[in-house]
Amino acid sequence: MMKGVLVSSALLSPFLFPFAITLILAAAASVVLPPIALITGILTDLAYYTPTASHLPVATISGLLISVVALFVRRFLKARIIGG
Amino acid sequence: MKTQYFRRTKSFLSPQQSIFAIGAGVIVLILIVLRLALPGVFTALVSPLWGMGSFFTGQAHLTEDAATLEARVLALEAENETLRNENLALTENSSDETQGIVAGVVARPPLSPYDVLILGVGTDAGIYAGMQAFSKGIPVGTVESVSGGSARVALYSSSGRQTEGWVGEARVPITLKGLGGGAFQADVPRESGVVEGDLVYIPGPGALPMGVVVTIESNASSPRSLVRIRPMANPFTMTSVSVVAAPSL
Repeated sequence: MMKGVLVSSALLSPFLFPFAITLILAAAASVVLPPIALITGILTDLAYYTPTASHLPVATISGLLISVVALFVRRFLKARIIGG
Repeated sequence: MKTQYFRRTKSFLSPQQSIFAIGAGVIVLILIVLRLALPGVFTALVSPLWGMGSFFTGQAHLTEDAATLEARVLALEAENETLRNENLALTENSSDETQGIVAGVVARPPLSPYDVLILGVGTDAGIYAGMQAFSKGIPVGTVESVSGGSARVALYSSSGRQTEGWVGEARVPITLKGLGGGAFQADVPRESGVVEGDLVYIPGPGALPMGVVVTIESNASSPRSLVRIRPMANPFTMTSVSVVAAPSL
């Protein structure tokens, strides 16, 4: 239940909350499901990106980085839990 | 006999999570196609959410602290006389032109990570790419893309965006460089006579004041000074803009 709310909040946040909060929610949701940050980044760029405003799709790149970090964090946590 | 261990390959995601991720990916793919092929449909889908988002971000102006406001009042008082004259000239030249098409802003920074405004009107109201957007008579950006019911305005303060303009009574030519978040900076010759409080203008129907010089950073070893400029229109609090045809320069 809590995980579902977190993931939903992250996916809706580009349209509801300032970008800083979107980043935090995406990072938190990525611990549950790593691709969520990337998907949130793509959604943000779909809504707001225009080449004149920025040379790079910053939101997608940020989302990709958060997703990759989240993958490694999850892997590390699993290893720690199994290893004791 | 040696015991055989069959180690399961570690997967990043559980099967359930994989299915969810694939489903979300497919939805995003559909949205990408919608944005590229039918931008109006995409905007119509997310417009109700932007309406709610405005509730969260529309009160940003309340967070401006008293010191900033006091400094702003002092700067405005100093400029009052200049503005009065400028306003008279501008009113004569452009009162009809800057009325334009009034458009509601449905999304603005900080909802957007870029200095972009999403307008609630598009080609249906006569808006087309290249038009200039004004907030209370102050130029703020240009229309970059437009669909039937929405338009995307890239602000002059977009990070890295360069705009030609002038500064001060002497109209010293400068190239404004957007820093994002509504801020600008520019390079001027150190001996140009630019002082804090000078107005910054960009081309429009005449020379349109759009910002104020707040700091000048000089270095004795450099022939140029770095000028930091504050916009006269705050992109974080814009609720509507006027969109007019860009002047032919």
